[in-house]
Amino acid sequence: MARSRVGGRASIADECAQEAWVVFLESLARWEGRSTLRTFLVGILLNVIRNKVRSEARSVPLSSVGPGSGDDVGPTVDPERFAPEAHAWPGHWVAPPQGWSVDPASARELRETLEETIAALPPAQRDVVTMRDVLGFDADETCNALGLGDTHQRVLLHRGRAKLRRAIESRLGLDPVRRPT
Amino acid sequence: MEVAGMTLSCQELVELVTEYLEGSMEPATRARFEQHLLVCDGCGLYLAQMRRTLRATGTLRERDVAPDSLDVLRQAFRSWKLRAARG
Repeated sequence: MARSRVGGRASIADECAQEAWVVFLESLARWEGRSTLRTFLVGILLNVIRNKVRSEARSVPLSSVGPGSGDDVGPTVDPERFAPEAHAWPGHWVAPPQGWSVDPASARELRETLEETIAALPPAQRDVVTMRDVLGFDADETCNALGLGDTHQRVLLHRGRAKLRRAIESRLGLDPVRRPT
Repeated sequence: MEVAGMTLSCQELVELVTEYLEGSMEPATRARFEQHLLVCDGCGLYLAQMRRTLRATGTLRERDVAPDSLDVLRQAFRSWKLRAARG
């Protein structure tokens, strides 16, 4: 499960799993039963992955996420895709999403896109998306493990997911406003 | 989140998608959200793509552990057991 977190590079992901396993075994003696074993293990895995990702960060192409990727404010969909204030229908789509047809042959590409995009998310968004959407933990478990409030967790999830959707759209060549930055 | 006015613009709706999917939306806002979806193909498609995105993200979990790395994990476990037995 560590693999998806670090950009699809199997060797790095395998290293994470190995390292987490060793740290887990070594720290099992210190586990006092205050958290569930599951939370305890996830905490270890998250730490190992964070350290790995930090050392790998320079090799991740941040341009794949687009402008404003580092903040938690502002629109998650490019404002140019909506009609401006002066328009008869302000805020309505002028460049609506186009339907996706992803054939099985490109499923692998889709996974790579998702993995790369997750690896390049700001750390807090990456942790929330990994716990919620990759590992399948619920909102409460995620808040507890990461020390987040409900609303903050949801904002981070929203921003992370919006970037993943946009990354797929872009990969499929369907992003009408993306320009080279 | 409370949204002013009777109707929701597309630009407002896309920022509420996660709140909607999480089931944490005020009933009045949810009603406006769903009314908008009835008449707006673009937003319907946006919501469907968000659902599809998070389903696809979930499939990243399902990959098997490579046999090589299982060997390494077993090896790590064996040496840990040896150390534990000695210590």
